[in-house]
Amino acid sequence: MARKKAPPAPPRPSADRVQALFAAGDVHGAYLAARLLNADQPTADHLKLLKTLAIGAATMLESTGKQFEFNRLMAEADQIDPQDPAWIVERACLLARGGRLADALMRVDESNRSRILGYGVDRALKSRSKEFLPDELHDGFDAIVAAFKHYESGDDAAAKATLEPIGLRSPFLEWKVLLRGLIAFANGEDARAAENFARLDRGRVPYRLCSPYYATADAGYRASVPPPIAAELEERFHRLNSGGIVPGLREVAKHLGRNREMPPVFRAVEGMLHALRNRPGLLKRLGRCLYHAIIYQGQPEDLVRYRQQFGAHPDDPSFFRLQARIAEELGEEGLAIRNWLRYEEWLATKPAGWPESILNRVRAMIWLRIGSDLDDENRPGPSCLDCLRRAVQLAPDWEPASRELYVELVDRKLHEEAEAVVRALLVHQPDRPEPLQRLAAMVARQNRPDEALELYLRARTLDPLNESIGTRAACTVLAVARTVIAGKKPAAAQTLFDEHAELLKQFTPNDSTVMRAVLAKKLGDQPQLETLLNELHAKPFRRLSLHFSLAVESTLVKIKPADRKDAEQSLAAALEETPHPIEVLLLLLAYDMYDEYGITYRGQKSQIKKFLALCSRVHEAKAPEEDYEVLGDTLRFRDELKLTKKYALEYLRRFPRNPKFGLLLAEALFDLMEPPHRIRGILVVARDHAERSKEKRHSALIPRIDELLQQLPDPFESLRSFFRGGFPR
Amino acid sequence: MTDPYETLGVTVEADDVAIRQRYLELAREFPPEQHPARFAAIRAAYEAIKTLEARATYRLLDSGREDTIESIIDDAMIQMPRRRAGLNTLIATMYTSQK
Repeated sequence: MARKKAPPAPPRPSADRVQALFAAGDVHGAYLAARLLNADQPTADHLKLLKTLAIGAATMLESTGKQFEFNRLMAEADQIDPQDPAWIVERACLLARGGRLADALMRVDESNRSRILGYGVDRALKSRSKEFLPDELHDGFDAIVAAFKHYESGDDAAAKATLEPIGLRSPFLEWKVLLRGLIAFANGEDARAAENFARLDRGRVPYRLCSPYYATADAGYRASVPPPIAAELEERFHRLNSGGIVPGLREVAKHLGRNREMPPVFRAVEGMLHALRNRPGLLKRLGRCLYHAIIYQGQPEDLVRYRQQFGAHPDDPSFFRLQARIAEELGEEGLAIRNWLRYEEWLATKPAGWPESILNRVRAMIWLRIGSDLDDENRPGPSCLDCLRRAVQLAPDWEPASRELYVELVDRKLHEEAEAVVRALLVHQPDRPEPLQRLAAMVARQNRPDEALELYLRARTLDPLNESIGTRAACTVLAVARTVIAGKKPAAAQTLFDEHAELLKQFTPNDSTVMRAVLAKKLGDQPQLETLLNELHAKPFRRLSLHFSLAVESTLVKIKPADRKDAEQSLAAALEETPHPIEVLLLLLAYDMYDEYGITYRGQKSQIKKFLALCSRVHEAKAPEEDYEVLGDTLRFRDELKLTKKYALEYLRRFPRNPKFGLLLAEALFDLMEPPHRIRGILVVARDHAERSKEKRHSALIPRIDELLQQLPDPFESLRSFFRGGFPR
Repeated sequence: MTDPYETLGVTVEADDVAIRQRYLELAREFPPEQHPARFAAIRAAYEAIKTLEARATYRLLDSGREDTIESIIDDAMIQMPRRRAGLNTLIATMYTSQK
């Protein structure tokens, strides 16, 4: 037979165990543990701890109405340090709070009587029974009860009159102060209410009754209590002040947020709709709040429920705008456009409450919204161009609409209309540099450099720090000079150079020297020509671009073929020499500048082929690795995809650990639509090299490599989708 | 932020000049060093409607967005009519929260 196991020994009492029980909320358990501790190790500290916990346990039993347990605990308390005078008073207070006022009064002298009576009064009012009180306090009890009834019925004057006889020494004084605070709070006088509540004794019942109101009236008090207590006080306040709205609104709040659904929100609103109807202001605001919530978390079918609860939205009575925005969020462009068009149609009826200026701008915004960034294919309604034209028509002074329309018209080569659009905007906004710049660029491309220069100079006056305007203005000065020299007006060209010397020096120092050299050649001023050429030759890496510019400019300013032959021969000779990558880069930039400004000359198209062919010879220059990278970038920016691929492959062979050439190759292959797995492999290696490289310019490539990797399809997606279907049985 | 028109005390008809004038009046009345929160609200309201484009954008896309559920709850609590609970209710509420 198995031996019966001995029961485990009870844990030895300790102060820590008492603390642990108290911290866990078991006040009575903590009191019992403290009693054991004091019996086991009777010290002054343990006795003090026992008394404190006896008070706590007795207060808890009293407040929860456990009278029998309370009386038993008080009998035990009588045995603890029975002769200590302070403890005698404490026990008397506890007895009074527990309804044993006569017993309590017998234990104390006159000096503590009013304190004991105060607790007795609290107990009596808490129990709504004056039987706990001596006869002489019955009138005071009746006065407090009557004052509460007056207060409840809103008769503050009667309540105050009833409280009048309660003096400063009365045990009912705390209750009088409580009532005065409650009356002030009910009348919205929060400061006065808080002032009264602050005077209350924190150990008395009136203080505990006022605390939910005190926390509402006084933010300082609310902040001073621990957060869980503040939350409980707030919850108590709502129960006392219940109307169902705040808890309902909190329920709504729980269900708001992206990727959540609207039906629980509408259910929560349904529950408080009756109360909300009495608060039209709140109902209207909640409607506006949920209107925006539907955009991000709603479905078209939620509109029916919304309309039932909140009615029509004053700015969107048919919910076309809301449906358009939901469709935009869902990525359904066709549906969005259809609804925006319906909404615009409604706005065109000039609804009340819309000032005309705002109405027209809003309508223009809608047309711009549906006209921008959308292809004409497979879209309902008018074409993009028509939408943008309508936007400009409604808001002719609005720059964004005018700019969009201009860009669209230039794309479609409708230059005349594009120019008219910018000029129309300039009528309304003559002092804006952007449209001036736009118009200048347009007329410059149409070979009207004089007009373009005037516009650029106006734009530069309005925005003198804008470098782009400065560069374009300087290039346009050169364009004007070109026409003047070609027109055999050398003096006018010199005046132009002098007039804009600062501008040319700041933005186009080399090109203007070339132009001056061409002018000197045209005038036959050999010493000046040689000085200028020496100046140009002294500049590093300018060899190819200089010979090129001199040859082109000589043609453009119509120097006699015989006189310009040497420039052409110099260029041909320069092209035969070993090219440096930076020289080729500057040559390509010089070539592109003419193209950008719409300047054409004979042999231009075949010339670029020769220039690009130089890229296959730049390795002979044995330049630093970085210079080859820069030339590779230039090829990529010029969209020379096949050449970039060839160039990157060649330099990847020469510099296998250079991530830049790997990235260039991947970018070229990406644009050439080559298989993604190949591009991914190149990028992964390039990323590895970029991580290992000590060059900052190489580690700076990592974000771009990652961006490209993200754009590539997941190589395992096809496998995943295959297995998602499961294996056939 | 509340309705910017309400914050500034201007009508929807107000133009750039009227709105700026009102903003400057309010900024003088509630300078940031003395009324930081109030001034911030005034400034935000001004930014929201100071130009025709801002007003149109507000009307088309943002009007009512300032009514967040949190701000509605705050205002509901402030505006809630203050009921006068009797002695019995007060004591009962204290009791139930302790149980």
